[in-house]
Amino acid sequence: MKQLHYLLAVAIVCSPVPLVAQQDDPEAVRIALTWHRLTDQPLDVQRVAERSDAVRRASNFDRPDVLAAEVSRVEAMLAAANANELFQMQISDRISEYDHDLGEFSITLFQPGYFIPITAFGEQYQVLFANAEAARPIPMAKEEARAFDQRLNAIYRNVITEVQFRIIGGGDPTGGVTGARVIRAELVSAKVTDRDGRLVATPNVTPAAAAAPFDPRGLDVAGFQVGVSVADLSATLERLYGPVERGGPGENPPPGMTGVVRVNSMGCMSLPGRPEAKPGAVCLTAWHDDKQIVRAIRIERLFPSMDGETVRKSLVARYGPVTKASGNNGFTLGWGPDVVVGRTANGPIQQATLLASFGAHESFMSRGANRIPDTRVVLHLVDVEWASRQPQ
Amino acid sequence: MKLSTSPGVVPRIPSIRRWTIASLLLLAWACGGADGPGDSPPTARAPASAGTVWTIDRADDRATAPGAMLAYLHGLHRVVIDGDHTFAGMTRLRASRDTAGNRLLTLGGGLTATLVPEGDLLQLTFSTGETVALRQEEAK
Repeated sequence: MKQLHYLLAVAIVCSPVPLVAQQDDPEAVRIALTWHRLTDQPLDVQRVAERSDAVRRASNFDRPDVLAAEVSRVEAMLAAANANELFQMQISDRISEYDHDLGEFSITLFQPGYFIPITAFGEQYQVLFANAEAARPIPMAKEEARAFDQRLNAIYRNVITEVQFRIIGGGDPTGGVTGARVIRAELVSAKVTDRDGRLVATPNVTPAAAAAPFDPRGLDVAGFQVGVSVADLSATLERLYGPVERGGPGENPPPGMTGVVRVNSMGCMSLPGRPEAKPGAVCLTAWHDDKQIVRAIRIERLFPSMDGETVRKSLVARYGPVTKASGNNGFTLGWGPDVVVGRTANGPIQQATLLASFGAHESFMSRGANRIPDTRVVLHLVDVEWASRQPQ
Repeated sequence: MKLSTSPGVVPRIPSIRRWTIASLLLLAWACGGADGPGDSPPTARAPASAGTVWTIDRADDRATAPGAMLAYLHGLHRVVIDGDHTFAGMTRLRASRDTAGNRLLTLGGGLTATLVPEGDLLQLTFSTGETVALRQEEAK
C-alpha cells in the first residue's frame, strides 16, 4: 500500500482555484495514472515527458534521446498502474455546526460538491468519494452534541481527516463536482482526529454501491420520448402548447435527421423589440428522420431565479448517476454515451445521450434594471440506439 | 406502449381483419399498457379535445419554483387530465386514489405526487414535499 502523508485543503466546487497549491507529488502522479488507466482518459505522454526535469535539463544535443527515454518511462508507469492499489491521505478538514433538525454534525470533506485537489503533470485533478454520504454525518443526541460542540470550538472546528481509498472511475455521480479530470474513489477507511492526533470521530464507511448501467429505454424529457411518430408528437404539442411549426433540419444537422418540429420558436429568448421571455415560457424542438419518427428532442423552460443545487439534486433524483458534468456560470450534466448532434467545419459536435443544463436567463431587462436573472433549464434527449446506426 | 409505426411497413390486410386488429389495439390502448415497476412509461398522444389542460398557476413564484422544477422534469408542468388518465407530455400516467381519495400519480424513481382540488386550482404535491398549484387552461 502506497501512502501519501501531506496535508491538503478541501476545496469546494465553486472555488476558482484550489485553496492550497499542490506539489507534483510522486504519489499524486500515481493516483492520476491509475485514473487514466482505469477510465481510458487519454494522457498526453509526449507533453508530460517534455515538462519533466530530465528533458528540461538536457542539452539541445541530448534532448531527443532523453525525451524518447522519458516517454518510454511514463508509458511504462501508465501500463503498470494498478486499479486495486490503495492510497492514503491526510486532509486538513472542518466539522460543521450541529444540525438540530437532523441531529448530526457533518464532515466537510464528505459533503456533496467537495473534493481533494491534487496536481500531477501540471494539471489539476479532483478526487471525490462515491461512498461519501454514509461517511459524512456524525450523528449525536443533543445533550451529547453540546459537549462535542464545545470540544470542536476549542480547536476552531479544524480537524485532520485521514482517508484510505482506491480509484474506481471518473466523474461525480451526483454532478456536484465538475471538471475535466474528476477522479471517483471509494473510501476504504476513514478517521478524524484533532491536530494533536486525538480521535474526534470514526466515519461510517460502507462500500460504494455499483452504479446501475445507463438504460435509455423509456427515458423522457418533460414527458416526451424519442421513437414516437411526428404526427403523435405534433398532436400532443398542439393540445398542450398551441401551434406547431414544421421545417427543414437546418444547416449541418445531425446525421439522419431530415426535419424539425418546433413550438414557441424563439419564445425563450429575450431580444430587443420582442416581448420579454418570462418564467413559464416553454420552447421545444424535435428532430425527426425520413420515416417521420422523432429521434431527438430539446425542451427548455424558464423559471424564476433558482438555486442550482436544488436543480442539480432534482435532476440526479430524476435521471440517476451522472455520467459527465461540467460547469461555469451554471452547469451541464450528461447521462449515457456521446452521440453526434451536429457538425461544424472542425468536425462533428458530440454530447451525451441525455443532457441537462442549468443557467441564468439574462435579458436586456435583467441587465439594465439590476434584476436577478431568471433560470433556464434545458433538457436534450437523443435516440442513442438509432443514432449509433447512422453513418458518421 | 408505443402506438407509432413507421410508414410503409404495415402489410395490406382484408378490411374485416383490419377492424378486428384496430379494435384490439384500441382496447389495449384503453387498458393503459404496462404500468408495473421497471416497465417503460406508456407513450401516447394526448387526446385532441377530451379532458382539460392544466398548467402551473404562478410560474413566476420563487417560493414554489422547486415544485415547478419537479413538475417540469416529470412533464407535469402542463398536463391533460382526462378522467383517471393524466397525460404528462406523451407519457400517460394512470391515477390511483390515496387513502383520502385524492388522485395519486406514480412517477419514476419511487416518486409519487398527489393532485388535490383547492377551489379552482389543483394542488400538485410531490412525495418529497415540493408543491405547486395548477390552474385550468382556458380552452383555445
